[in-house]
Amino acid sequence: MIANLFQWCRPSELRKLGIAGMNKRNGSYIARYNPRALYPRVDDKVETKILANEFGLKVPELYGIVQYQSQVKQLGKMLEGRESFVIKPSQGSAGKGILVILGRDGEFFLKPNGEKLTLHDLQRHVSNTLSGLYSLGGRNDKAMIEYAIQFSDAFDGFSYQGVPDIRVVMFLGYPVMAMMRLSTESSDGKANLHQGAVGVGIDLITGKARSAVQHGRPIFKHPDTGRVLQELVVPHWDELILLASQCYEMCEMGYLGADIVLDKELGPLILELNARPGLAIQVANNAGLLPRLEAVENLTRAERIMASAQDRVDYAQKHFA
Amino acid sequence: MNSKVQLRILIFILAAVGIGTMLTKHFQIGYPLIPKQQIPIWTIEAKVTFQATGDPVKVSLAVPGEQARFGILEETGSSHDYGFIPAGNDPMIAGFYRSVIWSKDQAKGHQELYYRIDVYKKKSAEDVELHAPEVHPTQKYSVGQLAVAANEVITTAKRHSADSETFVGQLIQTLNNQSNQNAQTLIASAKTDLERARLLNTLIINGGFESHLIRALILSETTTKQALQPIIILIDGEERHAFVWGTPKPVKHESTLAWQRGGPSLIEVEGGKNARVEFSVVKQELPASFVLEQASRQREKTLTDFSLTSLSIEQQDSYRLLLTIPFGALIVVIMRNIIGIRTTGTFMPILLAMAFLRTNLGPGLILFVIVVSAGLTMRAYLSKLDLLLVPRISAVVVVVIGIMVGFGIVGGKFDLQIMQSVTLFPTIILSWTVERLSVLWEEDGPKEVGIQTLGSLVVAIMAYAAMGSPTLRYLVFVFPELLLVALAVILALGQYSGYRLSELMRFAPLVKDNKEGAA
Repeated sequence: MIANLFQWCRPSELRKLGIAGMNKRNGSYIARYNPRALYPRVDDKVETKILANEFGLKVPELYGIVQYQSQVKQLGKMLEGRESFVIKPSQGSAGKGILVILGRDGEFFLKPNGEKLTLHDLQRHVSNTLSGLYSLGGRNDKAMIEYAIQFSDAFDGFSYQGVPDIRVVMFLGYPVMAMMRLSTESSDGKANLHQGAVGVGIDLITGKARSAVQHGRPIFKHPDTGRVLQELVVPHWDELILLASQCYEMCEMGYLGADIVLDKELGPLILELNARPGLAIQVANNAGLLPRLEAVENLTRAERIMASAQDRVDYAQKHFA
Repeated sequence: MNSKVQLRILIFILAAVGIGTMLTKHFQIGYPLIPKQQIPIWTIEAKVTFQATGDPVKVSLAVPGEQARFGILEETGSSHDYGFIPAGNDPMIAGFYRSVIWSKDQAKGHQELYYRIDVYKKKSAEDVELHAPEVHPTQKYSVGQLAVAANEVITTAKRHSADSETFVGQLIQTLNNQSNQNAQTLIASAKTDLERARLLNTLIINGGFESHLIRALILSETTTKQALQPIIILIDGEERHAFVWGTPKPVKHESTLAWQRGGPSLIEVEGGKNARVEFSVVKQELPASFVLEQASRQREKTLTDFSLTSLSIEQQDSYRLLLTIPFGALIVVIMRNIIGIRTTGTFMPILLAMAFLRTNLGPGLILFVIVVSAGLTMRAYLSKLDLLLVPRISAVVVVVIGIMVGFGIVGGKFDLQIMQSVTLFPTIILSWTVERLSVLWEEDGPKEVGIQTLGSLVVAIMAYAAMGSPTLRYLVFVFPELLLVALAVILALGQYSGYRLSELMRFAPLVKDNKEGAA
């Protein structure tokens, strides 16, 4: 972090690489292509799930919703028979308030790092969630309890606890860039880069790793497991990228990030959508977004509208690899 | 129309209107751009004395109006037991003849009446439409011996002059000439300064030029018992030249306040005799803003009718603060979108800056650090007690208030001035900050809390410096149209899609990598 302070570059260098800055992303893409009225489709995960089911896109199964404080007492009953599950706020942001339980030990619930939580702890977490502690702007929220992903063996050794997920950024439905987010010890099993997760740029054709960063610096090995990140390959890649691309029809957001996880049995599942995907993906891929965004913007309306999700994936794989 | 073009036109219009109005006010009315400028003002008191005869009394005194170089701040007439009719502002009459009237049904003996007027010097002479007063040349010089002498003097002066200005010069020189018989005849008929000025005025008019007589006060330093000085104003096209008896060249008249222009005599008294008028002048320097506030109220022009200066002092105070907030917002925009500093909440820095304005910066910062650390500790404990969000924040508010009251008591005991500046307003802001930071701590860890707190503080201190600056406060208060300029700048910054300064650091490893890759 301190070392970063002494390293600067010129705006012209960034422009040459086609790096999109915050202002550019917010002004030219998010503000222009993401209508405010559609935000609930991605900000409210319950709504996303309902939509995805309608469109036949695969998502983790919803076990239940806690909407009122009075329902908090029945949490124990709701969790009966569930060995593993995830509790998350419906309108959380930046991974806030997501509690993963991977097993039980008597009356205790086990977090991925082995920490034991009581039912009481879970109830407090749900209660906080309902009172809006984790949601955007502190609004009252719902707590969702859903299927905990059994993550694929393909990522053994690439992630320290938690579910590694794949973020695909799409522009007008065209996948423009992808990265894998690997949780680390310092990110507490969470997959957010600013919390210390590792970002691995993924090749759009093959699903293979291109380059990797942690804390904004290039790295080659996973900091906790020591596995060489270059060896990482995302299985079911074509299926995954197609699933991401189909999210465009579902939520009609121009500039969209889809967070997708790979389940051992179920394959790619949409974990959540994001209308304001971050810019760290550029660092992970060691490439700028702008040339790709502009290429899509320069397509004719007919080309864009007539293209199916598969066509868009083909285009991306041809031009953005 | 393209939205970008629309936005640019809007920005241009806002900026143009804002700056234009400001400059208009500056140059037309004379609102100074720097707050501490002092403007000289003169308080002139006219003391009217007369002997009342026991009949109904009506006293009419000529008073000055708005002039090219002087503006009126305030005028009052005070006299025990007299009815007073202030001078009107009839635009046809104003400027060359205004008068105030005192009246009483009955009075006897020595009477004193006072008329007071405060005038200020305008920054630059402005055109006040002044109708030339009607001219009533004295008939005295159109008959008999005096007429012959007058004509002789005029003819002599004409022969030696080229234009109106030299003509008047020649006239005065001729009249000064001790050996000129005609001149001596004329002078012998006019004993007082006023009569001599009238003589000169009549000669000029008879010579075919335009002029009128004013009676003026020369404003310089504080004087008492000053008398009005008769001055001849020669009208030469657009120009005005002032002449006094005995000086053949025009005199400077920058500091001349024309008390009376044409019209009837200075004072008319019904029901009294031996009327005298004495003037005393007190000069003082006052802050320009104060003077202009007063002046604008006096003249009630449309532009200043809507001015904030017409509000009461307390209202003005809160508007002063309110008006600076947009500039705090401007700083937040710059720091966040151009520099890229992360802050807790978008406008938290402005609220913090407002809290600092209440407590002053030093004590505010100390208070912030102590309260926030104590609050965070407290909050950590409270969160273990399974409280819901709102009760928990409320509990933090109570704790923060407790801490602040504690400081107040300690401060009072040890007479520490800084600890007593605690008010309700910063309390709420600080409690809220504590809550925001503790949530941030739980979710993003202490590092993020450090970064964002520091960022918020830096931006808050800058906003504090701007919002507390007397210059800015003065400027936005006197020129509220600067808000339009701030809006224009904010809109313009809203279009900025370039890199933030922080991104030059954030993406630097990428550039380095690509360079190495290429090499």
